[in-house]
Amino acid sequence: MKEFLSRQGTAFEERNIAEDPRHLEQLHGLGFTGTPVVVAGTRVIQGYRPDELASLLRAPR
Amino acid sequence: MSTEKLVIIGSGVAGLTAALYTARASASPLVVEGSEPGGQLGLTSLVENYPGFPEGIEGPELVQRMRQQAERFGARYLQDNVLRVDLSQRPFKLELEYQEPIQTHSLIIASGARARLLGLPGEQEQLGRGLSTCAVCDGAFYKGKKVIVVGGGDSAMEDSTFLTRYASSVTVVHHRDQLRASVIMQERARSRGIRFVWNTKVVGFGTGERGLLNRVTLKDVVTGEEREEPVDGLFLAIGHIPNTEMLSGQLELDDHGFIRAQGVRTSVKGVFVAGDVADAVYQQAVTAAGSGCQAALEAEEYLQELGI
Repeated sequence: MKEFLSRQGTAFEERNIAEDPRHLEQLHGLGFTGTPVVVAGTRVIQGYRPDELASLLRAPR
Repeated sequence: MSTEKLVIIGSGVAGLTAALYTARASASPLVVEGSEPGGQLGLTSLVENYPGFPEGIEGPELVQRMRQQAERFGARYLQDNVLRVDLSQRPFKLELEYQEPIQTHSLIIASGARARLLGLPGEQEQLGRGLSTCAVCDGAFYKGKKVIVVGGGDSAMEDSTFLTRYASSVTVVHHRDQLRASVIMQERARSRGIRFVWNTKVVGFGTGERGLLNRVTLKDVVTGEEREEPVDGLFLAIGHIPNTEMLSGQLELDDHGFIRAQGVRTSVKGVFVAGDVADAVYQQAVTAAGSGCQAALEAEEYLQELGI
């Protein structure tokens, strides 16, 4: 995931649930019990989905 | 369209071992990694039965080392999925999900297998929302929670034992009255206070707040009686399905969907198999490595015959 985003030249912030339980709580609060989850503004993508990520990166912001 | 000498589909133990051998033989293999880079070992915890690691080694670290080892000798990696292979033309043609198609003179199919689901409506959409096929990946979300593991083999024992690190209650639901798991794995699970529910299937689930799974329907296969049980997490460890969709009938499969092969040779010259995609019996990391090596040696010989 990180490699994919880096290759796209996309800036991102990594939040590791194993390092900070607050991140785990945040994800759980969103209704997720698995990783990875990408949050970009109002869009949320669960799992490693290069197709959805690519479409997200192409979308005008 | 680029033409490769050798493409390896899959980046688990089988694919990476094939990559290592063929890279060392200067075949410059291209590994199409698939949607689960590292394969099933990338989703496990401590591997204690891979020779050479007396203290065991974490699955993801083992495959990462294999990846680096093959890369050192010239293996290349492509983050993509093969949607379809065309074995009727030479070079063979591969359609990818995200990038341009590629051609290749030889092919090693090491696409492995994926976790089997129960076959319940809405199950696929529920994954990651209280339903999981990977205890190691998702276990941390269940601290102090109640979870059920479905299955009776080593994977079910490994998953349930792992989940006792987090969950307040772990129950194994199995459709028979005894386990298939090895004695050592059973003993390890039993020593961790895991509850067993025998002769029972999960036949449904329900959701609550935020769409999270919050209950399952259990059916006693002897009496036919059904009951609901509240639960925070449902983990499936009920086996695997070989990833052969990209073949669309071009190679012969057995009744369970595994590729039929003579050793690592398929019915199409120049196409070889390795690992779980053609192994309904052993399905071990070390046997996957062994068949990856065999497929690599066969592919090298084939390329030599072609003079490529």
